[in-house]
Amino acid sequence: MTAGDDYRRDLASLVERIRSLNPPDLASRFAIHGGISADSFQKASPVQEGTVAAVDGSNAVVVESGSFSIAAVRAAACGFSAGVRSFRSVTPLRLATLGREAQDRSFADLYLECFGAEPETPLSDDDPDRAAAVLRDTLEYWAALRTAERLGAGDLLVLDGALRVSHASHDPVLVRLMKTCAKRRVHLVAVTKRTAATWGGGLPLVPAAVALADSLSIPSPWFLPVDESLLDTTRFSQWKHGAIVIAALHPRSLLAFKIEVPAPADGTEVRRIVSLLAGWSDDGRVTGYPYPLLDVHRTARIRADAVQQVKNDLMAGMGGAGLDLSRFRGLFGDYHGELERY
Amino acid sequence: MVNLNDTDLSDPSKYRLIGDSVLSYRFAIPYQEALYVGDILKITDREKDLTFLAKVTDLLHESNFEDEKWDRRPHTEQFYGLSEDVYLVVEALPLGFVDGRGIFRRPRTVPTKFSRVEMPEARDFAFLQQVMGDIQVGVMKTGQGVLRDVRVALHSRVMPQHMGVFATTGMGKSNFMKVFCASCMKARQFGLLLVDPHGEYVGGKGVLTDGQPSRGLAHFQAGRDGLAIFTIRDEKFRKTYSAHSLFLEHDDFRAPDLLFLFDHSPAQREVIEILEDTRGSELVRFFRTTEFDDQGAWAAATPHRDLARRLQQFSASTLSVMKRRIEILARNNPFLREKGSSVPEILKALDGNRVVIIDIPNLGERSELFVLSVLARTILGRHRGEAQGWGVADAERRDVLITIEEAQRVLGSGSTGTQVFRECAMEGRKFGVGLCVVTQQPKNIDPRVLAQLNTYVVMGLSDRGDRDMVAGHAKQDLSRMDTEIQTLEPGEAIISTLGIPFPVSTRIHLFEEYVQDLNREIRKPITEGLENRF
Repeated sequence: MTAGDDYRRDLASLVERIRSLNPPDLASRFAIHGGISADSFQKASPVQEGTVAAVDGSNAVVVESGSFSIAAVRAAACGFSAGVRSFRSVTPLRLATLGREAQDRSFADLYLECFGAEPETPLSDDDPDRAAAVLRDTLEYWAALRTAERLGAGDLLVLDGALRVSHASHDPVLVRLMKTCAKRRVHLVAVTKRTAATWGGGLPLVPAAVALADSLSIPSPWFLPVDESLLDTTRFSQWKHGAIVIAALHPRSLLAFKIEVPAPADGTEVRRIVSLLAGWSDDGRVTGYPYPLLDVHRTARIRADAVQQVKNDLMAGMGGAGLDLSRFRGLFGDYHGELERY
Repeated sequence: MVNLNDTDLSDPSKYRLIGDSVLSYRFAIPYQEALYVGDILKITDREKDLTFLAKVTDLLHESNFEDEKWDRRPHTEQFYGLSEDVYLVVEALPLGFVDGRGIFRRPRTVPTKFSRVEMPEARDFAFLQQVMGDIQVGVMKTGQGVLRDVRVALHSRVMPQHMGVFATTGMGKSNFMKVFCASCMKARQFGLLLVDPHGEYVGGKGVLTDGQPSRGLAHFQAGRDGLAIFTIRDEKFRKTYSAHSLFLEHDDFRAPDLLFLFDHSPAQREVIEILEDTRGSELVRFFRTTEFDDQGAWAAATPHRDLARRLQQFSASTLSVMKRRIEILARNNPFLREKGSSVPEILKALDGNRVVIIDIPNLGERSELFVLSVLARTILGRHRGEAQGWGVADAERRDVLITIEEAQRVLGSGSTGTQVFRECAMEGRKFGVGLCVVTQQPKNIDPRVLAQLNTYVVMGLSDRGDRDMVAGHAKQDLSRMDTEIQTLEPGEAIISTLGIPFPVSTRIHLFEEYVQDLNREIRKPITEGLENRF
């Protein structure tokens, strides 16, 4: 058997696996499995009222040495009302050292700065990318709290992701955010672009709902509350605070999203949230996706040129401290950069 | 403490210079801004204390989005927040800059990046008034509008260095020429000769788009001293417009002038070349009194011994054809007679720096070219003679501009029998004789002639070949203004000339309005010249 044969056999196997996840009877199986009928799909009418705000964060590893890394993180918030952006806020770019010794202090310092208390659970992940993501979430939750405080009754706060934390220290922060929103009568929702949720032994959740809506000729926008018992597994269930809903937000988009609203979900509340999301999901660039999320993503995103700028500033700072370029290369240079040139 | 800083949403950050080079600018402006090709913009460079000027040559849609096809998605009715990421890129041609002392300089440096770009006001062009000439033709145009206070005027001193007027039919060529003539009548800095085969320049012809009758140069009463009219029309017309009768006498023409009246075989052209220097009266006498025969007896019989010696090698049939043509010329042209020519009066009027209109309606194209050829040869000959003889001092030299309408007829690459016009184009400037080449097909003009023109008046040209030819030969770079030339409307022109530092977009005055203004402006008070005391 040749290398080419191996490759073709793997490819065929993959195609078969994908086919098995998209069986021809996906819609009917999903209907039977979940006890879902046409009446289960709820209609929503797009509406633009009040302010719809979105919060997002971004992180990037600037340089890596064998023992530690330097990451940049920031968060942003954007608000829209009456068809235009009403505010856009962004945190300064924050830098943190990630490493077995250093990352816990960076995280603790940032957490303390944001929430006025030490985190209950230290950050002890060896993976710098994941550690940077936790730092980003810290800033993002803080930005969400600040944004919730500037919104009023009937406004909507949209988070990118889920109403579920990925680090224990954020759980009290999320609870605080949900309480703040409830107190101010601000609607809260988290929109997941890509979900790992499955049912029936590994079948993807959202495509099944879309297939069923299509087979039942349900016009968008629609939403479908999902009973969690339908799902195969629930990750980090102890930190989960949202009720799952699948929503399609624009009639000319094939996409639908898993969204989460504070549990327990109230039908009227969910309809209002989906209507507000649908009201801002008609942008021609990302039809079917809430535009405020695109806008805040672009605001927060740390692009390659920003990373390069930080790198330059770091080199200049080291130079000023008597550490020349050879020291920089000694710490952070490796053959990855060299290899990328060829 | 962590901050969440609000960003200013009202920052007008797009109306700024973003790049390119000394020879080309790029600006970003809001995507919904109404800017037009041809607009002139001002770039204020506070770092260098310079004010740059640039002309818009193109407008392009661009965005900050990495996906270049963001606007080609199926659902493109609604977009939020476009003003921050979607913008127009303006490509502009640098015109130059005004330094701190108000002196205009060529664009030899580039404005500081992100310099502010603004619409200029008339006062920003104050420097232009210092460089404008004395032959006013219009007002400066910027995009869709005009700067009424910025008058565009050619320099009379560069007119002997030839001028080209290029426009397709209906773009306002005749109006331009009338405005130009009126300004020449007012300035009286050189003589201008114009042969008018359509009878439109003296009293106007037809009606304007608003139904009003068109006006002619004779209606410029206040400048009437600067006009001389020579016409073949009747006495009533002459009295109405104080015109002279037009006559040419036999001695005014030479054999090569016949080339415009008739088609000639190679042998006949040889005859014409041999007779090139012979006076017209002698030609008429010789051919009228000689009957040509194949045996050559005519040569022995004619008293014109010199002509007989030069022509005896030609067949009787060739010479008989020439005889017939001379007869037709002498007999059928009402303005040609044996004695009594208007040419001395025409030359005198030109010497007096007047606009001379040769009004020959209904005579046909061949007669028009014949008259023009006779006059051009006479003028060039006289100026050349003056220069080669004792000469005249520069201060005394009388410059003349000869207008050739539909010039491709006589200045095309393959035109035959047009030597006199070529000589005017190639050598005339040395002797104070300029050509005003008017054509709608510049691509059919000999490129060597185009290269001699120092003033280009480019009106709408729809043919790419014509535009390329004009852009390729103008002394100032017009190639970047191709889009503007294509989009010129009737009555608009781009003028490139010596003395004015960059090609100027111009809205040519409407002749009728211009003459009205001139008559008001120049009319002398009734008391002028009267004694003001007893």
